[in-house]
Amino acid sequence: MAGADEHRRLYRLYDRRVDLVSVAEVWFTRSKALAPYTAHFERFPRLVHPIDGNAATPDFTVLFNDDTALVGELAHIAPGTSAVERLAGQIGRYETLRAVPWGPSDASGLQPLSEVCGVDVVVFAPVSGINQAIDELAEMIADPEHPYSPEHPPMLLSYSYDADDGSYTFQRPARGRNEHTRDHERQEGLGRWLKRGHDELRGLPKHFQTIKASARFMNDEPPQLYIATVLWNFVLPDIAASRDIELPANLTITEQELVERLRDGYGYAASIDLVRRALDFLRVARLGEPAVDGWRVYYRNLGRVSRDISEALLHEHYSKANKTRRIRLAAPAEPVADDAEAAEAQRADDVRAEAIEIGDASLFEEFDSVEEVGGQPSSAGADEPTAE
Amino acid sequence: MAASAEDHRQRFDEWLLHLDPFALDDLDVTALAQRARQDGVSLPQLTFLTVIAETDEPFAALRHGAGHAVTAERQTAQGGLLCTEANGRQYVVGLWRSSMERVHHIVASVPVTDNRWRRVEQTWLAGAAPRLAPVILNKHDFEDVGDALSEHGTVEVSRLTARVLKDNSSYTRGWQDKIARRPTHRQAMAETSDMLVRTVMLSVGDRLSVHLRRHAGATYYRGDYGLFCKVILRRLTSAAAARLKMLTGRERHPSQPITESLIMRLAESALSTSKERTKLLETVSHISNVQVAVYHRNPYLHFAVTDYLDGSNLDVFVTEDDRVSLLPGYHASVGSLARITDVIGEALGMIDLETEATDELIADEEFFVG
Repeated sequence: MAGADEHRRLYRLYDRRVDLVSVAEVWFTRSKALAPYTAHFERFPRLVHPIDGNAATPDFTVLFNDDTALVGELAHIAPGTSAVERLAGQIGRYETLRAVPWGPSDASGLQPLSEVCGVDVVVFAPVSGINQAIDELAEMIADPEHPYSPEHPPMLLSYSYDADDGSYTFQRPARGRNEHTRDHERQEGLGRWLKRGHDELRGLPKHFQTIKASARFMNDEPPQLYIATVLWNFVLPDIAASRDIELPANLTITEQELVERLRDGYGYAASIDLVRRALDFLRVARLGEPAVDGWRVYYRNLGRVSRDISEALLHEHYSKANKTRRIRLAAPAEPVADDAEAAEAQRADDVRAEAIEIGDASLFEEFDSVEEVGGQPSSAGADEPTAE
Repeated sequence: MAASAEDHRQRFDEWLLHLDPFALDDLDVTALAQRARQDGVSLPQLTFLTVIAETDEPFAALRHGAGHAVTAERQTAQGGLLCTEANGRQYVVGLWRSSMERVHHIVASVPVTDNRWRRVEQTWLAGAAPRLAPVILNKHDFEDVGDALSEHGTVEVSRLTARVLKDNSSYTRGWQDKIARRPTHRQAMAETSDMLVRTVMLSVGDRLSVHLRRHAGATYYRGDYGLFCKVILRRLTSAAAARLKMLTGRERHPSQPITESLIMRLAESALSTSKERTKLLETVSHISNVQVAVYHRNPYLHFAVTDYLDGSNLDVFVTEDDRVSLLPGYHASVGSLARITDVIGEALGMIDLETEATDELIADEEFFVG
């Protein structure tokens, strides 16, 4: 089940990154020290670099009242790889940005931009490998031949999660060229704040919980399981409720509709491709299928499979048994005339379903032989590929 | 030979079910005793459950919940009556509107301990959810009821049941009036500082005898029905109305930040261990037609809840040992929030449910380590 474990790992990692950006958002928008100087915090910046014309998508940007900005990047720096080299290339471009968002995206997805006269760069990185990264960046800066020559070096903050008290700790290692941010003309800024906090800051979930619930995403594309879970958890029931459809339901949706829901609901500009991959995850899980007018999602309680939605989705995704039977509708389909074959198949499925013992899969259990029972067999054929 | 309680009960139900349509339409729940007396029928003990309704047709919702169990029904201006049968014996369950909009009382003459009432409270209400939702009383509600009753006579508690929060054990205390003077409600409550009071049986001198239940319910045993309505039904109604107000309009709105959250206050250290947080998660995930998605645990806990009854959804965070934060999503009905908060509150010993502003600036000290 390496595939399933990888899905779980990516899900957890993404959630961690959502937390980290949410911590930064709290610092700049809710702290008494920094919030008065913040004009706009953008957790989904989509920029075009003024020099190379390519997309620039840092993990967050902060526009300050003095027309300067801070650009934040979450980096995973694996020691002994070219990760630091790639990071330098990335943040080198951020430092030369000329404008950052001053408000959220409009309905067309465009972000209003404000010109800035100076940009500080902050990198969040795990504790392991950060010292080496700082040293390598210092060497690049010192090397006149190296293309990375920032006007002001970036500030790298290590982050760690303290499982004893459930908080994040951020620390600025005082080595190499890891200087504080300039903070420009502001009386207070992240650099000065850090100095007052002896180069350590905390990120408490009690502070960022509303921000996390509001936004749900960060600027990187979420992994398939994460987006599929958010769809099942929030977006699909919201759609059903807004249409006054009783659950369970065979929901007809379009990819564009989901893109708009994610943008309007959480500010996240999901691509059509991402939404399509999430729907494809549901298709393999036998919980949806392409239809003439978009997608049909068989939206129902998956509690018999697992009490946890992400685990239930994963189970259905990897289930071999559900690939060999007809797809189960969430609600009865429109009657089909002269469909004796379908009726016979339905009876066979029902007999089979009854034979499967229903277990009460507890949270986070590995996949077992639990099979969901219930729903209505679709008139579609059982021609899905096995997921593994 | 004196009529049995069952005969007494059946006579009242028969009378109610066959009351003249105009009289039934005009009959307020608080006037039941008076009207019955006019017709020569005495009031039996009555079991009450107060519910909040997220529908303009609460009787239809209850009727739906009752399903095939109904043998006869009468819709009235006050709500309606459902006649049902168990073990060959008929009984009537009424839905009566209260003095507050969207707050109703479900009333029957069968005892609260009887399977016939359990069917109503468990099966029928589950079928009517989330359109009808019961609410739970807190300790203050019990105390307020006792205080108000004490203005009309000496309040004495004869029996009290509770749950001990630290080990989930049950606590039952009874007081015989022959041996020593029974405690007042305040004295009885004083023994339950670390407990969740579930039921209290009390009397007001010789005027009234009642049973109060945490699940917004009460039983009128005997005595002054007017006093029962004036104090107890009114309190049940106001508690339900307060909960209704708190849970109404909690949905998020697009493009607007979350500026308020629902906070469930619990006893100190109620969620200090991973075992207790797991219990919260399992409690919610075992609510019927509800599924959760865990986003983070160990030790701060973040999970989201989807209620398949109507698609309501919310985020739940545990970041402190004595509170649960609930952040409703874009669709969050009153009935769904009520049933979810009630189950959590019952499992963990809710002290209070309140709203809290989340947009205040945070002092620097909160961010500095050490």
